[in-house]
Amino acid sequence: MKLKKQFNRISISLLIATTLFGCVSEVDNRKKDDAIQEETTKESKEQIEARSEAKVDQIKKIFYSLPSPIELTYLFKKEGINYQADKLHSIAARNNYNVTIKKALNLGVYGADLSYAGLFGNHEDAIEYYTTCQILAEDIGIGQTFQKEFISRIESNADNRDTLLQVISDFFLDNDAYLKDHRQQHISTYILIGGWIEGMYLGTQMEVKESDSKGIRTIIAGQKHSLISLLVLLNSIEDEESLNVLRENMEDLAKLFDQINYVKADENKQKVEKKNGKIVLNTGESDTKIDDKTFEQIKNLVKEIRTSIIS
Amino acid sequence: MNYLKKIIAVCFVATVALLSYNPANAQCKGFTKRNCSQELSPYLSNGQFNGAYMIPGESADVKINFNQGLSYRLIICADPFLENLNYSLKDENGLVYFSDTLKGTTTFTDLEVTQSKPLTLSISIPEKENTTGIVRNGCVSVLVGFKEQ
Repeated sequence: MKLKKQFNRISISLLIATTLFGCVSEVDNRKKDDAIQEETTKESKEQIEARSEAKVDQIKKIFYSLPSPIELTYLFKKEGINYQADKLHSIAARNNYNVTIKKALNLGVYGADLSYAGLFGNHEDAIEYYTTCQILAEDIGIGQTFQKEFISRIESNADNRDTLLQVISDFFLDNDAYLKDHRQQHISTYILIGGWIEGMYLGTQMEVKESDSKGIRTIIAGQKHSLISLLVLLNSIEDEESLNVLRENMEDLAKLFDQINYVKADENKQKVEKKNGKIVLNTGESDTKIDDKTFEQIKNLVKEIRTSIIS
Repeated sequence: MNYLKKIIAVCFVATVALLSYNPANAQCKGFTKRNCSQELSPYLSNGQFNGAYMIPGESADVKINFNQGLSYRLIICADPFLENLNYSLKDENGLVYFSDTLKGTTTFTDLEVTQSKPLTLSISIPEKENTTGIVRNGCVSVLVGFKEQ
């Protein structure tokens, strides 16, 4: 009996200590928020030594910033694709995913569908896809970022497409920041891959007028470097055999992109020009050639990868 | 014996709770929200958060894929302690399009590309004379916004 009482005391003490630590840290953080020096922290002697050693090794921090699904959809919409709800991933399928990798990949897919619905101003579909994203995110433990605030912002701006896009964009940014803050870069990578594949799928599968197909092909060709960045991120995830098929498929896709003839920048042209307060970088000619055969191969492989992700 | 197991379980939960609290990272996210996010408007974020704690003498590269047909805003923010942060935007062959030194906490550049291309934003923080023996770090973050041309 005594032992039981002692156990209860110890448990309560530990819980109180943990809670207090959380509260004190939170208050401490709020205090720090008030001063500009808040972001600067002092490091211990050991940390200094470790950092100095790292500097000797000249290890440079490298980050990859990829286009969001909204960005890709913007480009395709500009070239004439229309809203075809039947091409989007089924919302009911969200219950089919049981492992984290699948959930994260499909969170990316649904996120791209959400962007697509939002960009075309389809408010009802956007809310449904948003809710689906929220459920999947909570399933993989990042639900904290999907605040109710987002839903109410979507609902209260039903007729304002720009605000809707702003909300969706904030949603992606908060999500990514949360994952990186919690050292879950791999989950962020799965979401990026799912979103990119779905964006490419929607762009290649939508019916467009013959006159618009050249623009679509130029956008597809421009995604080569995003694919390479995704492969770098994917290959940095170790010890995950279930990713092998996805890796192989993505590498095959990269080989297809190698067949595209990219027109280099004219070296005689000025490399930087100013236009309407913006800087225009002469990075190359825009009329990239992508033949029918290569386009069909890319289109089919993207569809195959998408099927393997959503099944 | 059961009590011992329970004590171990409670200790484990408490330890996990303590270890999972990561104030430094949370601050970098907060710094970005307060100092960079407002510069995005009227551009939309590309949804990627690139932020890290850095110390004088360190450098970082951010590889960004720019698409032809869109306008971009490139935002760089850094803790004022990290004085004279240098940045440059270059292509994969090392061709530098522009370079500058950050004055203040935040700067942004609006740009477009004539062909979709990956460009690298290189950031370097000059070494700083340290008389106190305490190394201080500060948050550096990069945000990318886009909009229709």
